[in-house]
Amino acid sequence: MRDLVMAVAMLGFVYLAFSSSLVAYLLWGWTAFVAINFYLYGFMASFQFNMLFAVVSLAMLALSKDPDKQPFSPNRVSILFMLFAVQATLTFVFALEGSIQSYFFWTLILKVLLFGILMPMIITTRVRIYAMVVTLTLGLAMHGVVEGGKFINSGGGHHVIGLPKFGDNNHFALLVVMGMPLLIYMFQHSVSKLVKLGTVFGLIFSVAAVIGTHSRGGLLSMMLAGGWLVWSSRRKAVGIAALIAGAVIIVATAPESWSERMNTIKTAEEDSSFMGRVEAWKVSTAIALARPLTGGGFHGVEHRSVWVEYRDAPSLLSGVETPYTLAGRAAHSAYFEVLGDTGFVGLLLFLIILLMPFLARNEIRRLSKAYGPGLIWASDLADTLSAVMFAYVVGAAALSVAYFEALYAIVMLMETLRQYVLRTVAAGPSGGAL
Amino acid sequence: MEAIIMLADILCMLALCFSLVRIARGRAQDLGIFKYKLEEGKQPAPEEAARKERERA
Repeated sequence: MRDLVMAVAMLGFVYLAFSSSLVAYLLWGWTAFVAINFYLYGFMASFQFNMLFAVVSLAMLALSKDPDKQPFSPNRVSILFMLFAVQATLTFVFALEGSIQSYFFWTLILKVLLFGILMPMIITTRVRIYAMVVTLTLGLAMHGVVEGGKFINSGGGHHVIGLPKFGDNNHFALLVVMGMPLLIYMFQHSVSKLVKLGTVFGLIFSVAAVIGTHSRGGLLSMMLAGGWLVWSSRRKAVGIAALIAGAVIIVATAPESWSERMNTIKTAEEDSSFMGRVEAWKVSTAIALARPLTGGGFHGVEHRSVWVEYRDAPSLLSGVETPYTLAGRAAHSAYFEVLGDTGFVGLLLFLIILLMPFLARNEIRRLSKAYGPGLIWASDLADTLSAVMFAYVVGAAALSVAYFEALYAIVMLMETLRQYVLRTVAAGPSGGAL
Repeated sequence: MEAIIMLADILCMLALCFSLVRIARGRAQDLGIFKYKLEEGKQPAPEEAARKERERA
């Protein structure tokens, strides 16, 4: 039944995509974030939604007349994305023989970077920036709402295991946490009471979904992103009150198994699963030391032949005592993942890409404050996106999530917002002096 | 429940896309159900002001 509904909806989506390059582009993004295939089980499950809208977007971008479209003009983030694409290509070309997933991740990262590079050409006005925020929210929040709903419905018995596209329960928790600041932004800036209500439910269900994952990293990311939002908020007292109320409700209602799991955060170093991660970091750094310019290929560390070859090689963590295993495993950290996959050059580019939104946030806040009330929304959005990035930066420390599509979209959306603010300010202040 | 939430998400996305096409064709001024607040005392952003000016002309 749901496949039939999706097929009918697709007719509408395709018609709308051929009506506007912006709509085609947003649908390209939405289909990537929402991963709708994983919620379908019939004849539409293998349909290439994302590929279809990517092709339509590129065609519409080249052929359609759009008065708000801008010609391609490289900015600092798109240049970084292009350099990262070159590095990813070198990684793929010189990948170790055992890195059998290299082709998959190479094509994935190129597609994700292309989506980002095109964003400043299409997302050029406030309406479009807001539409992109709504698209991201609808894409990311749906996962939390679905799983959180099951968790609440089962009285806390449902264990959220995540979606195959994104990884395990920990990856899923991070994805859900990344959607939360966007829900709060939509609550603050929406006019419709229905949408406001939807965002409140979305937030409650998302929190439930994170609890349902039993992910310690997810809890940590959620707490720190909440703290970041309150710290940068214009209404700190309201934020602190909401944060305390949320914490009390979580502690009072969460199942005992969750509380027991969260208590082990304090003793992580004695935890064998944590020290297993350190072992994976050790092997990743060993690969990078042996191949500093190109790394070992995407997710090579997950394969036994690569693991065995580098398990005893010199590494940056040679002095740390870890378990000794001879089976490949995930890097368990986006930073070590990029280091092992693409070498020191790739890691440097990745870290600069992660730094960019935080620099842009400070600039947007400064310019918006000087401009006056007309850009308060931009300042709020910069805070929101930086909270998403903060959740990612914290959560990514212990998860292999370097090639999350939403990450690169958020990074470029912040840069697109910065470009918009710069154009607006250059056009003339409406209040206050620069 | 999963199917209902999925359907709601799809309908929201359809509504957003429909509003954007209407705006592009000059038949709507805002995002419909996803309309956002304009801050009190705020001047329209330059491109919005220019669009309104074009429409008035």
